[in-house]
Amino acid sequence: MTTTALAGVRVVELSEVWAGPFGGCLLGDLGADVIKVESYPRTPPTRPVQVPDWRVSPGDGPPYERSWAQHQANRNKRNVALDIRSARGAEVMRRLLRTTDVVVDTFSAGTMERLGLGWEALHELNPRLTAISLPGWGVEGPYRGYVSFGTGFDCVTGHSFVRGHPWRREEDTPGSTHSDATVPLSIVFASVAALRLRERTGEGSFVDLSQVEQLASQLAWVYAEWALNRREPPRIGDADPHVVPHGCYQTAGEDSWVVLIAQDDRQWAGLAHAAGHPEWAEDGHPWASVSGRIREREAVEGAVSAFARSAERDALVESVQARGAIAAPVADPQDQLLSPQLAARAWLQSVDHPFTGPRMQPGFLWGVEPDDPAWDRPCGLVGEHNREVLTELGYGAEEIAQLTSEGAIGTSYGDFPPRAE
Amino acid sequence: MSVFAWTNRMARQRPPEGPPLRYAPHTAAMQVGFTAAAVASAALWDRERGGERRDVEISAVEAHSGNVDTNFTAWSLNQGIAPLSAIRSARVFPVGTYACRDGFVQFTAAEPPFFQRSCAAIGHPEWPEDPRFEDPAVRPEHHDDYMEVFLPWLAARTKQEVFHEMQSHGVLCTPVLSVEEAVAEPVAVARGSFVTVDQPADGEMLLAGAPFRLRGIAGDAYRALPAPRLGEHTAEILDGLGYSRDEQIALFRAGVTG
Repeated sequence: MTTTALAGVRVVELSEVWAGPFGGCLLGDLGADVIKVESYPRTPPTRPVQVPDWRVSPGDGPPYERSWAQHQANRNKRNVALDIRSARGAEVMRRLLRTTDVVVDTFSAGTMERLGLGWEALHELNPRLTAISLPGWGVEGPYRGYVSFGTGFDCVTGHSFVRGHPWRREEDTPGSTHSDATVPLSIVFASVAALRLRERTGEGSFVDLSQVEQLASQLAWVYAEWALNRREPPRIGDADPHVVPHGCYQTAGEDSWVVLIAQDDRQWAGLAHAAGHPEWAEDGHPWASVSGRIREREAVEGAVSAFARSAERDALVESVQARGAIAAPVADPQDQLLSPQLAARAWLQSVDHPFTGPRMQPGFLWGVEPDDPAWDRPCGLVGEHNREVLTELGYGAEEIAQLTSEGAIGTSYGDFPPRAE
Repeated sequence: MSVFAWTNRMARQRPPEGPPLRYAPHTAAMQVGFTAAAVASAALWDRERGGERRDVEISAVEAHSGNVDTNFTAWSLNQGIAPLSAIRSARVFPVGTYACRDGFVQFTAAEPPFFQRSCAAIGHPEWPEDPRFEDPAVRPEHHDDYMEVFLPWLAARTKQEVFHEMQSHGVLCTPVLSVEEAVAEPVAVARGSFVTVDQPADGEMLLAGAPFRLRGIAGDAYRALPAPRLGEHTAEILDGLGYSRDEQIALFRAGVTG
């Protein structure tokens, strides 16, 4: 059983793709009863209905139940497929929200109001309910209603402008979805802050969570140069203005890379010894000091590159780490699967799912004693918990059957038949 | 950066040719801090309401590896590596960064309804029914036909013009802004996304504001304070812990505080 820190807290999640759903995931990891309300009957972007699709794992059954893009942000939730745009579905939604502590939505600004679920309406429906809304540019402001996506936030915060290699064309710098990783953390923090405030006031809060502003809060280095010196930060790729060597280097082998860093003279001496050139760090050598290495950056980087190219990656990492400098393999999932560190900590988890079978899934962002997080529930099937949740809300079997026949709830997308229950 | 390397994030960030690429410096450290704050807030709140004390452990590598943007699940379900985000290709378009009159704009508009909307934005609302573009399986063969109109359309407009025109059609499009432009964006100014604090010794300093705005019945409680000076609150904290002035002087002389 997972951590119980948020036991007794009900969260309703109206969100798609990753930032909102992963926030729901983390709340579920902490013990909240998270109910994901699908965009039913409209197919969500992470649930493809046609194959072939690169996101769908091999197997039988509807492709939208086998999509990794859906699986990676939807553990530890119940799943309700409810057409909240229909009159009957909206009535179910209102009844659900009367029992809810936190509702999270990732609609564009204005959509909740159009659904009759704006903050004033929600507060009237359930004064103890907190609503967290995370449109790209926030709820208020001149870009209200604009559509947005994770890589776009990189662009408008200045992150993509400064993060590429200096010699690379702008078009060839890949986008990052960093906000998808950090916004969920603020969803947890904001939820707890609102719950704590409610204990004092008796009322829920409205949280305006602009994903652009949340990402900006992660980019202190990007803004510091501008804030202090009114200079654009340099585009430095993997380098560091004040640390040499600091980079990603190719090792022996086809496509194998390692990060090597020596932040001070002690680490540099370790790296020099690992490279078989202890003289690089001896008194009198031009590279023996931080300032000397910065002055001769190109030569130092060239020597370290040659050292890395001559060595096998994992042996190099072990040798450099043993001598106190920073080294890390550029690891892919297979490396993580084979990592003795992650294995010793039993971090990867084998998780069974009705349509994919048992798969190795990533572990949790944190450990908690005495109640570590656990995969209590794998990614929910479409409408898997319709009956369970609606029964809890007081709907009888006949009403549920009627809601199903009217299409207000369902268990499938596209032309696929409803799942047998 | 070494944390990025250990976690599949850097392996994913492989531009065409050349070494993998990290995110901006120090973003990994910020993310670990936010992770710790998130779980600690839940644990503290539960203790306040009578729950048990908890020991929380954060491994920087696990905090990153388990997060969503490593796309580890793509590999665990399909043995595949998720493709790079926002890189241009002739197979999926318009996606990625494109030049316009005064800089660059980024699109994520290959999927419906965004592709269809992009066609309307560049003056061809009929293209979604055109046999060349109707079927996504056939569409890559006609990449050049699309670009023949799309690229000149961009080249005739500034990045702000492209952004607002595309957004008026509901297309996922953003301008690529410098830091100076980002802090001066109308939306950032109107919302007060960046705040100014009076930083002792450095003067006024611009900082990113709150990562979220909690509007309780008491209003918006966020307040940005400057970074404290070295030891600025030593006496205040020691006072709170019950140390007398004489004891504090002794601690200072012994080099325990400074």
